[in-house]
Amino acid sequence: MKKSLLKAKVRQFFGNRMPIADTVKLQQKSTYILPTSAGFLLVGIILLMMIAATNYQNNLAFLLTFLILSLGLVSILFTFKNLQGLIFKIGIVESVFAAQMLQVNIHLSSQSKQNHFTIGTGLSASSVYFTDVVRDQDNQIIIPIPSQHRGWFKLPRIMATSSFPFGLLKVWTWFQFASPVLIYPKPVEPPVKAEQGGYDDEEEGATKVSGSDDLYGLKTYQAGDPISRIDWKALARERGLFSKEFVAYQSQDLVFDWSDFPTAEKELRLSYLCYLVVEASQCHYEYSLRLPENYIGKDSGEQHKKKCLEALALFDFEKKSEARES
Amino acid sequence: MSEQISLGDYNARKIELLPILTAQQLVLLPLYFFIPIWITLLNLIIVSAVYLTDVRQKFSVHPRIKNIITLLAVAGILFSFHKLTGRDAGVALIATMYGLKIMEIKAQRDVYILMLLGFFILLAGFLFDQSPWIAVYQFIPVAAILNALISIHSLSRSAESCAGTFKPAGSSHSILHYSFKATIHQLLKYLALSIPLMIILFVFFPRLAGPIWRMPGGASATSGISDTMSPGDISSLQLFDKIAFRVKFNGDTPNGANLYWRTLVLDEFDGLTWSREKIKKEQGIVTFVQSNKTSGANDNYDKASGFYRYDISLEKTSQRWLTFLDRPIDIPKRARLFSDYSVQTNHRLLDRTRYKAESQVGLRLDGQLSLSQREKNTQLPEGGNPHSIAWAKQQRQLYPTDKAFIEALLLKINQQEYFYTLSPPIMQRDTVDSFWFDEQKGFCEHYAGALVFLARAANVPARVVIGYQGAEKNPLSDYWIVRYANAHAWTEIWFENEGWVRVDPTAAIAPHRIEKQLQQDYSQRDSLFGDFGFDAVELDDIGWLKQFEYWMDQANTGWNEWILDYNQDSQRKLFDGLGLKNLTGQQVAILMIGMLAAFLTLISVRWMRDKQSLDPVQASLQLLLKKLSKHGIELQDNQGVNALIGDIQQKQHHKPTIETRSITQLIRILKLYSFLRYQRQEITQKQQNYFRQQVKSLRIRSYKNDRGHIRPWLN
Repeated sequence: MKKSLLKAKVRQFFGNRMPIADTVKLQQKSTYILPTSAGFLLVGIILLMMIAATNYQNNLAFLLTFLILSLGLVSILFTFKNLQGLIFKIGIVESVFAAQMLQVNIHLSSQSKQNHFTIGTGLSASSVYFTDVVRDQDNQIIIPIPSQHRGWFKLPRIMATSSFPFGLLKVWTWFQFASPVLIYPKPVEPPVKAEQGGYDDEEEGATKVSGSDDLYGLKTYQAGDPISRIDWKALARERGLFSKEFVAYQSQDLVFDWSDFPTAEKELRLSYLCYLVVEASQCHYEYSLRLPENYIGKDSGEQHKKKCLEALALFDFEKKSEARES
Repeated sequence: MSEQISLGDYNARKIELLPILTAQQLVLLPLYFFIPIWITLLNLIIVSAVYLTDVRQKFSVHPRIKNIITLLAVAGILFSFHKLTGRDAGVALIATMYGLKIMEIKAQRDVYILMLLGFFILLAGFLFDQSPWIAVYQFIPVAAILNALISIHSLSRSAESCAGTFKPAGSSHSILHYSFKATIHQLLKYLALSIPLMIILFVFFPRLAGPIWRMPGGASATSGISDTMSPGDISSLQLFDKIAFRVKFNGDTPNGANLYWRTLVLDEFDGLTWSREKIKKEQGIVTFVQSNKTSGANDNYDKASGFYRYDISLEKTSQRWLTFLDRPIDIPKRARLFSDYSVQTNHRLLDRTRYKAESQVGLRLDGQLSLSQREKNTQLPEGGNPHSIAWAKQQRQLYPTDKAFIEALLLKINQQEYFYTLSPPIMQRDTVDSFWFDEQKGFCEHYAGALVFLARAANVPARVVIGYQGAEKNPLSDYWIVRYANAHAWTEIWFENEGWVRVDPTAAIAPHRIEKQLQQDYSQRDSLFGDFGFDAVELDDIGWLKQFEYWMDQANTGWNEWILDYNQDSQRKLFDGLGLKNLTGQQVAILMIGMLAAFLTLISVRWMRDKQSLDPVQASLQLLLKKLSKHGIELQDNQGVNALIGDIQQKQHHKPTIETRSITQLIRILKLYSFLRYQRQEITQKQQNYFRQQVKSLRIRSYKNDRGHIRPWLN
């Protein structure tokens, strides 16, 4: 118990120093430094040299020993400086489904007028990605972070580390991006025999018709047509502006309803609904989503899909926020 | 734009060998002059093989081959030195091992071990050579090692050889490429910042008085005169221009005739070699020296009495004898003065040694000679040189006194065909006979040995003295140089009422019978029968080469004095001079750490300031934004200044928070910023200053305050 208390205290201490923002400037107070194994080897060699110099009463040997010692001391500053003044800014992070890898885009730039070399960024010391940071330039790095749960996901703390120039010392710091990332529920295929007959019919009817192709044909673009339906390939070939015409094959409207899966647990229901939204969207169907206290009307396209997925991701989320913290 | 390497790829990169090989060879280079040539060749062959195979593919040597090469190398060292310990064999061994280690470079860890051990190998070089050149040279391998360490840590240098998925994508990526110049610049920066720290450490680091344990000293080819004298010993020394010692006189300097530097007295002769009889400690040590000095201390300190005080800096001799101006009356405390006026220390002189002494040129020695002393100094080996013995006995009869007899001998040397030569004929048996009667050619050993032999044969007490004669003044400084070339042997003959008198038989040789190449040196010796005086080099007369030599020697003396001889004593003296008397070792250590910390802080503070001084206009804008943030106005990410102006105006229209006058001023400043940023030309210094001044003078009053003013007016 005491141990965990101490651990919590230590965490609190470091946590307090850890900057949390969307743009993190590395400051001195949150940076830590320790010798690497090579650093310890050098300490041993310096001691050996000191003994040899004393024993032979050789002042040049002393001079050399002190030069190496001084280089070691100065390298503390240089190693430190290599990480100081770096600015980490979170870039665009695409939402993913829970348990998928987030590709977190980080912009690295230099606050000071210097270049930074071999900067490692990652979730832990054993999974860092190295890059150089050139001054007056936008340097990007993408680190994969596993997403955990649906809803607003707070990114875990990220480590920035460097042992440049000599590898004798390792300097590192932790920071955390403040903005959470929206994670969609994990799509789970619902069981084939669904409770609601409507679903079955629609699905069968749809498959029958759309067996050949989803794309019905092209028609000349008219104002008001969704941009997503523009045939970009045709445009690129300079044939003119066409809209892809999809036919709503389904005999009835697709309605994905929360109450479709009364026996399933809440998260699983969301997963089923998520799966259906993704599938339907892939087939360019029009569909609507009905959740308790939330109804998203019939539509199709990326924008609609996103809206639905966001609704699923944030369903009942505020109440869950306490659980998320722990 | 993104260019990133995962940790796995980073660790799996192929190590670029060239910087490592370069550093390794630069480290070994000074040692190549001192270790057997075959080790050098082996090292060079291996390093070339490693490099050439590495260019084609990843380098690897079969472990069995590695072991065989290593074993052969060790066997070779054993064969060369007959042992593996001791300085020379030890250094040869570590140089070989260090050279072979290059075959084992596989991972970063191996590079660290090889490179960091390089520092220790560099240190080994100083056991052989401590000249300023080698000290300056050491910076090159140190820089090369640092360069190698940087190279294994930089992404750019190893980007091309990176394994795995990573491939450098064209020209526009964010991995920095070093130019050679930038690398040199960076290395110089590291060294330049380290050197002040090094000096602080060197001056203040607490030193031990002596070594932790004694190392066996390496054998030296020449180390001045030894404690025996055979024909050829001293003449071989005279070929060396190496410096034996330096002297600095405090006060008067003796004239050339008195520049005899006494080291040892040899009083035993075995027919070939003169040596020193081992004196029992209690008997031999002279104890009256101190009283002698104090008695003549106050009144007789003038030139006439022949007292000279001086400092000697004796080069390493590996022997225990000290050299003094003939004859010493005050010697260092740590040394013993024997009755024959030779001085011994309790340990061998393995380093250059400095000491203070005082001599009295005309000091009378042994007015009375004890029976045993007389016996000892007239002793001759049984048999041998019968001709000389008979001749001397017969000659002695012709003169009334011992002194007249000796003078006659010297006259004979002067008048007859006696030659002074560096290459005397070989005299194997009855050396005195063949020298004195047949060859009549020799060097100082021959003359001194023969004179003592003849005197002893006539029952006149005599002995050989070896040391140095003459000195060369460094005209650029106030000290004198005595070289091995000044090594000399002369004699002391005991006369009734006079004691031991110095007699230099070589000085009696007629100048024209001196071998030409020796004449210059010889001319410094006062002739007994000629009148050419002591020859100091004229300052106006010295050639540039000689001048350079003197200059170098002076620099060398400074080097010796301030760098090589810096020790606990000098440290203490320095602190005393700085007014830091009676500092304990602990206080010195604290002082040192304080200075180191102060220096490091100074550098880092300078850097911090560097960072702040971004762009003056940008800095001013930051100040402005800070002022604005107090009033709830923030520049959003990716929001331009123009957008901010729009925001402020809109906000002011709907829900004012800031006084209108402030707003007008604020918007004017923001527009000014926008103008400066997006104008075509560079921002001038004047514009920068104007902008900063505008920002500073801006006072933002909030609207609430404003209304507070207005309200009473409304009422």
